[in-house]
Amino acid sequence: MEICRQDQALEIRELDPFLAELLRQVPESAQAKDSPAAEERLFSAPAAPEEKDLCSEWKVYVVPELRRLFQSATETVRQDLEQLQCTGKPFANCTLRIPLAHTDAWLNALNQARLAIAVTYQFSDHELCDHYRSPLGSRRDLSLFQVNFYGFLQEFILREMEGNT
Amino acid sequence: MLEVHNNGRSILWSGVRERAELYVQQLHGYLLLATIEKTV
Repeated sequence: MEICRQDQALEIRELDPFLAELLRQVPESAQAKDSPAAEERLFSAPAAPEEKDLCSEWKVYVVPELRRLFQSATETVRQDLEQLQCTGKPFANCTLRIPLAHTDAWLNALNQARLAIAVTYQFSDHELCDHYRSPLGSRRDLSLFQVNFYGFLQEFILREMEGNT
Repeated sequence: MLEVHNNGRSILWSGVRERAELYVQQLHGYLLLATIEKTV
């Protein structure tokens, strides 16, 4: 896999089918629908539970706005990921082009996915720092690899954005 | 940043509640944990 800046886009080239599949899972992983813990993390309370009025107003007025913001980001990512479905050969490496205008959406969606996965599997800080664990052991290990791969991508996008300003 | 790293939390801003709510909403938009607390 090779990532580089190409005009007004970031290009991920020679993306192998395994990493391409992990990227295809970003929009789905960013959804917290089946995990109350993930929902709670993505839409965290604005104050302590004793502040009942503020917390209930937040759910009515702010959470829908945040939900729209997060869904808009994942939808942008989903559209970019359609590039990965157009390969002629089933196991061929492919290229993903992320327009610079979409990088904020990617950062947001990757963040949603990482937080939702991490809270669902209850990864410890120690596990999240273990970058050398094989993804092949279990679904949990694969999810940890997924979190770290998304983090790597975020780091690269941020570095490119900083270089851009 | 270092205070958050060391202590797990930090006071980012003090002031009127309405503006604090706006700031917290913006931080939540970046998926950062932020809460409002009354000044003692």
